[in-house]
Amino acid sequence: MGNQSSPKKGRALKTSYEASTILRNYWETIHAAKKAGKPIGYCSGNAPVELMYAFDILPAYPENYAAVVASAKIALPLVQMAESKEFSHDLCSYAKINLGEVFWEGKGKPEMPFGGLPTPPDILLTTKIPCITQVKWWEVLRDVYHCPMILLDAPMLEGTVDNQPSEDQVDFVVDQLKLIIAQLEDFTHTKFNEEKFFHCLSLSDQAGGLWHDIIDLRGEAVPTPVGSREMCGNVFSLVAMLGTETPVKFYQKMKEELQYKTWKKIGAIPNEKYRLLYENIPLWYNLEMLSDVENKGAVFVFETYLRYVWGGRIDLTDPYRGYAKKILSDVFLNMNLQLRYDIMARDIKNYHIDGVVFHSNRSCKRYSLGYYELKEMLLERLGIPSVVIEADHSDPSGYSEGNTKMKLDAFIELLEERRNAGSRG
Amino acid sequence: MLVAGVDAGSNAAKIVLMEEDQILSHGVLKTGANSLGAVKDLLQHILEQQHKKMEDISDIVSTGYGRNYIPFATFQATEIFCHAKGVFRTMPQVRTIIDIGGQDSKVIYLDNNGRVADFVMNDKCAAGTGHFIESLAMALSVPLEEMGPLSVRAEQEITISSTCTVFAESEVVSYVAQGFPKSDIISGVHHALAGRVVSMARRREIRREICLTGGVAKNIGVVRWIEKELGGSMRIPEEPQLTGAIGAAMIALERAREQ
Amino acid sequence: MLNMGKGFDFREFKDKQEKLALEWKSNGGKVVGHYCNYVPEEILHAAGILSIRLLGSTDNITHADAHIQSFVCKLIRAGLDMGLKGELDYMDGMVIPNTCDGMRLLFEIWKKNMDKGFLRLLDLPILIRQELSQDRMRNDFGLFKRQVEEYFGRLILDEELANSIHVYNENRTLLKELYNLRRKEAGVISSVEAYEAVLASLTWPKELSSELLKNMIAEAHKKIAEGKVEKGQPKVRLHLSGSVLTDLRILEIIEEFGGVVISDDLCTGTRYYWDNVEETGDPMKAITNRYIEKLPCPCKSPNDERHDFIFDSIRQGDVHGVIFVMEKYCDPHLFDYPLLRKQIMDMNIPTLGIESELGVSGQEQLRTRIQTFINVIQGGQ
Repeated sequence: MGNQSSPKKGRALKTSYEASTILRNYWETIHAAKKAGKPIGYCSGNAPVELMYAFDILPAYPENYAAVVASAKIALPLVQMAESKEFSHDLCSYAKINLGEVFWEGKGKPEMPFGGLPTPPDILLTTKIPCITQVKWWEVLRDVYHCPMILLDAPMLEGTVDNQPSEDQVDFVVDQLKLIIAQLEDFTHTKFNEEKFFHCLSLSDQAGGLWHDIIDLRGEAVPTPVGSREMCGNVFSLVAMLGTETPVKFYQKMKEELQYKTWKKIGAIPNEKYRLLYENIPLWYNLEMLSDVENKGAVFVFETYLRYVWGGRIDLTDPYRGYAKKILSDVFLNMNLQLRYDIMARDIKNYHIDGVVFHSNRSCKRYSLGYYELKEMLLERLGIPSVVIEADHSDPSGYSEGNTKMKLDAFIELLEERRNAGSRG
Repeated sequence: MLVAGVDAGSNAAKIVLMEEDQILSHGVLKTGANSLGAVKDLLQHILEQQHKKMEDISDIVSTGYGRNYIPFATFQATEIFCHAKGVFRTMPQVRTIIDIGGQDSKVIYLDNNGRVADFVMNDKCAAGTGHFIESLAMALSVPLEEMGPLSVRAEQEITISSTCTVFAESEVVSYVAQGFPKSDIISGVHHALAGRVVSMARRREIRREICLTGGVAKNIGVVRWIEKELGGSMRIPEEPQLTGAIGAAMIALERAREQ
Repeated sequence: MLNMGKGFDFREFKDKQEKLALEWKSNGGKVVGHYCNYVPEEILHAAGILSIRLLGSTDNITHADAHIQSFVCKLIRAGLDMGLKGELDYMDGMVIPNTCDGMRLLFEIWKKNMDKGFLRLLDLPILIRQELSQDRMRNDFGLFKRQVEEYFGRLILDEELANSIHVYNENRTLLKELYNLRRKEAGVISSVEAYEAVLASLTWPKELSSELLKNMIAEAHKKIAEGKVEKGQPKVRLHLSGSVLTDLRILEIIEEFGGVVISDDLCTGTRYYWDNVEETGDPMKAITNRYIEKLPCPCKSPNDERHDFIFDSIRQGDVHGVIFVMEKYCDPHLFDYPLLRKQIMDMNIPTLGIESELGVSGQEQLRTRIQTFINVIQGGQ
């Protein structure tokens, strides 16, 4: 998610140029809706957004918007404003950016992209599936805006690489969803339109399916047709627009372009030597980091953040249970460490990965804790080397460019040494 | 064959001039990243001392944070690889290198052929770096070079529990106020640093032998605490702060020979 | 009263905890460690298990940094460090609830490195005021009981549960009595002593803790009856807000400058002992209800009742100020803090926010802040 600062070279995919139009249209639509007095909701990551569309409530994503703010490189004054309002420096920077905007006082407010988040929200929808931050942050918003807050409670996923939640867990989420539907009926004073909801689920499933195809296409192709930096700018409609036509059309087009490119073996970089996996949320204020390695013949071909955080398939033959299963099982952050390892191991094989870059993200404990264990498991069990860089997804204040570049350079040197040693036998 | 290695660190630039496998000369220049121009002057000065000219050098490799800003270097390598090369040259038995520099610290794990198998670095916090000792030396008004010898005289263990340099400073000040001897406090400071570094090193299996490089290797107090934590002795190069530049010169030599 | 000598030394406290645990074991019992006050200790106790709350340590971290990043609270890092160093080897198990993101991953890291004994993640719901989640909590507690029975090879009988409920209720009632006494007669028991007593209850056998509490309360009553309560300057009466408080030196500083803590909403305070289990009816149902209805933690949503508890305490009219002691990196508390603090300020009660890492670093700075805070309150009276 997030728009990219204009890269020096052109995009690898023509379709990527449409992402910024989608983003602009989305924000215009939601601002217009707010102006027209229609209800808008603030939605958190992995909350059941399809229900919002089914009730004609347009969702805004403070998290996504924080990423937009960070990639516009104006996060710092907002973060500092939140801190001056006593929100700890150590809280998630998405939250700090948003709360900096919410509590802004005085002069010097940066010009906010797309005219800022529309305020006030009429309803708040969140879940603890990815993290507790989304619950605590939403509670603050609830206290500020005095509007209803709906929270989807959910159990954690244990399991195998097929990552199926237990029947009890699915039942629990289905019951929760039905409760949320009743709450939304109360809120909107309209009767729930199940047919419309199922249609939204179908669109969501189609977009999720296309996205998985896209990830497979670029991951399996050698050379890979498109790098990480560009793909991070293409995920937005999957975050905020699941349940609508937009992502379906967009990803259909992108998939076709990728099919052509992979068939023609057109690579993202001229001489692909090392294929990397990126773990965690990107540095929105420094997406260049993802493309800088390309000068050394390395390219990120797969990101767990793009694959296991947004979207997912839905079994439409049993829509409620299918939807509950998707909510529980397609989110990396809701999985235990062993499951995350199993999935990474499978993807490393499928996508011909040479090395893994872990972003130990101060703002995301849920994603980042356990990296030293995963690193060891990858090396010992698969012989896959990895490096851990320390940063934050949206707060640039503690970022050390020199330290990070050195680690990445040294990591590519390490991959080179390993390959040389291998070829010498 | 004449080669040079330049380690453009954040506090100092170090240059090593090598003729084949032998170190001819070296120089150290206290500098910020802003005065990298002075690095060339230093190199020229060293060359003159050896009655050599710039044109005599077959290859120059740079390393360190400023490695990309040394325009006369033909190749850049990271400190991690240079340290591995530099240590392996004289101590091929070493499998783990602990490097504690002014701004960061690293642990480099080598395979049996001296190749880098993995590495870890401290996060942005200063608690595991030489900077930690520098700022606490200031707080205690003790010259940096006296920190090591003083701490060896410590008689009791003092725990500095704060990992934040600023908080550690006030912790130290309150120990001084309570009348604890400086030697005990300094030993506590060294113990805290050693604990941080060893704790980071434990992320992978620490194979022996172990070598300590970087400026802090000259501090006997830290050395003893690390050895105590690891339960064994460490190797320390004669000029530990030159290790990176030596490694860079070694890479330059390999490159020159290949050409 | 706990014979800790002058000044509070957490290390000594820990040593005593281990000694008592070993004694318990030599009598044939088992010992299980746990985090957080949502673990139904009564179930463990009914199976003859001494359950000990993990409170970390003020020692330097030497092993945990290799496994967990530094941007997690010290409670988590220090507990992991103790485990890795073998300091918890006397325990037969470990229960970690899925409360905050740090705890959730602590379990994973623990499992990867120390998968031994009775190691369980207690994945509890967050919406404790919603019936669906309450049903799930009943299932989760039932499952937990079966896991204890299976692992330790014994059935837990209803009589045993009823007995354990009684033991825990007695202990909690005594702690609450102590709390009310301190509040009524500020200064009759020092803040340090009072919180030592809570830490002892959290980490020592409840039976012993209750004995000590009874003596302590009796002594206090005697002191009052004999008119021996120190009558010095009127003390500045404070409410302490936060999560875990293990480094009691902060209380020493508060008292040194003329303050006294008369109420709190700590996880190692009222939130731990405020609510009792119903002693009639089905014991499992009663236990679950207690954990559903108890004074909530910021990891539960909503946790307005914790805020109301603080406001109610202030409304009693005898609180002069609120000190927040917040564990660094504790997201749930840190998110609550700014608005909660503002609400308290709006009640004309001064507040002081202190960040801690299981201990007060920068003692001098802290002394200055607490002294100034207390002076300001004294001047304003």
